Amino acid sequence: MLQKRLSFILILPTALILSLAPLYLFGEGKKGEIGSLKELIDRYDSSRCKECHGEIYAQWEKSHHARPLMGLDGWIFMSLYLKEGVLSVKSPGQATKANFPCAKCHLPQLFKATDSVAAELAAAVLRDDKKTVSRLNIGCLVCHQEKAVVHGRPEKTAIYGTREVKDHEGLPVKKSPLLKDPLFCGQCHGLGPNLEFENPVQCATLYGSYLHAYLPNGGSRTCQDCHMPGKDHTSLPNFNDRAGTSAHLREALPLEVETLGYVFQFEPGKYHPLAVVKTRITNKAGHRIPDG
Amino acid sequence: MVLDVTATAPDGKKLFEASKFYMPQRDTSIQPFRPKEETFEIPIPPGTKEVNVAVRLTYQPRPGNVYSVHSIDRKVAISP
Repeated sequence: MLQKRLSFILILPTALILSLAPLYLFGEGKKGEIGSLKELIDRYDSSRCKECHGEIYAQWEKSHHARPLMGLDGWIFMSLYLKEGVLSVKSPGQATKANFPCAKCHLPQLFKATDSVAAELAAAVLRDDKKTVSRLNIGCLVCHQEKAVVHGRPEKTAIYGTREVKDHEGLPVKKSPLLKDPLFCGQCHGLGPNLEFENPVQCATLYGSYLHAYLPNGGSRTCQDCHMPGKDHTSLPNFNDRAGTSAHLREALPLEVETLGYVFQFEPGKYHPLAVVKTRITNKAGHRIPDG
Repeated sequence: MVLDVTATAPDGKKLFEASKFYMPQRDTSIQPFRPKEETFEIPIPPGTKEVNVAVRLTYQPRPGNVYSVHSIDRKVAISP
């Protein structure tokens, strides 16, 4: 009897610890889900790569990938959607991942977090907390792990690059041919209507334009050729650099103008002066412009 | 993208203005390998010998947010 009681005394706390451990380790969500906004930021923090990859980090830091929720000139674009329309919430606490379909590309790691993280993010967005929101980004792990493999799932104990580096500090680097392929960029840049969400969103269709308008007409360059020359992680254009963006667009879209001034006699004695202006814009890019 | 064409008389009086919008919503975007060509026929008041034509191409991702791309000015003589 005593042995039975002792067993019960030991079993009960053990069971309690085992049942509560996931909550302690992973927040209130499913096993492995990220349980806080801080954890989401920390887990995908790219600064750990900076020490060895300083030049690439400096390039990336200037890119829109480093601030995918910040829009143009530091504006948190999700604030508009959380205040108005089908994605809006009355209070940040009501927000769930369903309020962030844009995260599919702008912050894919959010789908590894609990709904409470989405609520925390909504609170940060609605109080215009640029310091916090700017730390959520498309960093090293998003591209070199999450998005680096399309057949099967990426290994959590590896990162991916254009070549294998077995003795890479931290995680070993496996070779992924996808990183040089336009499809790699197409995973986000041009998914068109995202109908899988509770509230579907129509997004950019740029990769579709690459596939259906550029390649069939003889185009042969990749996204990486033009937007990451020499593996430059600035991934132009940078729309916050207004002069640079204008120059970039000027190069991509040459404009020719021809003019002609003349007078013609429409009927006897009646003369009509006319100026004719002909314009021709050529698109040298690998996709339609504008798009996203 | 917005293409603006304006024509003014030598005294500065505006004679003509027109805009073309190239945008993804209706897919009037500028496509690769398919140049966008436009022709503007501008009636000029009789007696006018010359007009100034301004052609502007701008990128406007959001209303009021304008990036200049091309700015071309031409003087057009009206020959009888």
